[in-house]
Amino acid sequence: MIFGMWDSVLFHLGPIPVDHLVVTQWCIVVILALVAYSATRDMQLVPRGLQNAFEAAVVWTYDFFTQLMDKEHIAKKYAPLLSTFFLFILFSNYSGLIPGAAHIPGFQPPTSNWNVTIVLAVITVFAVHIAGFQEHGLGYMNHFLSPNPAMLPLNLLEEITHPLSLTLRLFGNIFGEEMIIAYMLFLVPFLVPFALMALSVLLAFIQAIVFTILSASYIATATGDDH
Amino acid sequence: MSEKKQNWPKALANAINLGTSVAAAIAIGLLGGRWLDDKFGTEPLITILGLLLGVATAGKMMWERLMADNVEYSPPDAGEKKEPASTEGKRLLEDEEEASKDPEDEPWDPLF
Repeated sequence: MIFGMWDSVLFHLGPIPVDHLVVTQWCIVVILALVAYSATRDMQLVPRGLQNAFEAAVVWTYDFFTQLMDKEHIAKKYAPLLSTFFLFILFSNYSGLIPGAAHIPGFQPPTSNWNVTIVLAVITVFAVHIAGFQEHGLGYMNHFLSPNPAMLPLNLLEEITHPLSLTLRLFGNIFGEEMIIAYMLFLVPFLVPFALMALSVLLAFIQAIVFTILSASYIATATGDDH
Repeated sequence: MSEKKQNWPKALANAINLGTSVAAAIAIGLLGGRWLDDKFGTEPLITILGLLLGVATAGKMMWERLMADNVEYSPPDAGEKKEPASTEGKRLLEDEEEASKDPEDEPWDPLF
């Protein structure tokens, strides 16, 4: 069952086939947008309730990324993107733990499919190089030739390694976790999978934070003063 | 110590990243080389070159990581004079210096 749904098309939107995981992603985007809208709908000078919690989270996020990326203006510019990565990946990872995931049509955890994780990694790659060019201008190209021009092939291969590593780590961990829980449910349907599910709550959080921190670290490297 | 604590997310990410990055570099080199070999019919020349390039890139990444960590977490200068924060600290430091002295270096005292 879990494999059967993996590549099947749920419905067509004109000529575009819509997958199960696309529908789940739409739901996650809508939930995140609704929460953000309700927190910022009625902004007060003295924040209360959800606005207060969100303001605290935003301040903490800015501090966290400033500490991680060294340059405050870069951290403030890219914190929204990185925070969105974190929230989207976290919700996607946790959606696999909701009963019925990958069994109910239109409900498949998005990060357990590598098409989704590679798109996130490609967005990171674009963000990294755009940030690099904005910070250093054409001088950013010099880092491909550092420490000497003979290193160009190695530097280029390293640049390709970043998105592949981001993609495979997130996909591999979440897909593997889903598979193990599915097989454990099949073999021992009572209590035993619960321990694995508890562990995957932690793993899903770690994977979300690792993806976000690594993206931040790649942007920090591209915008750093070493270039 | 506090700097190390503050940088835990970076340290965690680097630790998790290095393993997959090294594997990805070698995999890209090998598979890319194999794909090019199939395309041009030069088997196994580009595969071997790609593998070597992947291994070299992996080594470069590990070397850079190692050097970055050495800069970030360099130990305090050995020659630097320690400044005790309190009289208790001063006493402990003096005890430490006393204990580290080599008894052979002491001048011989015939009356001792």
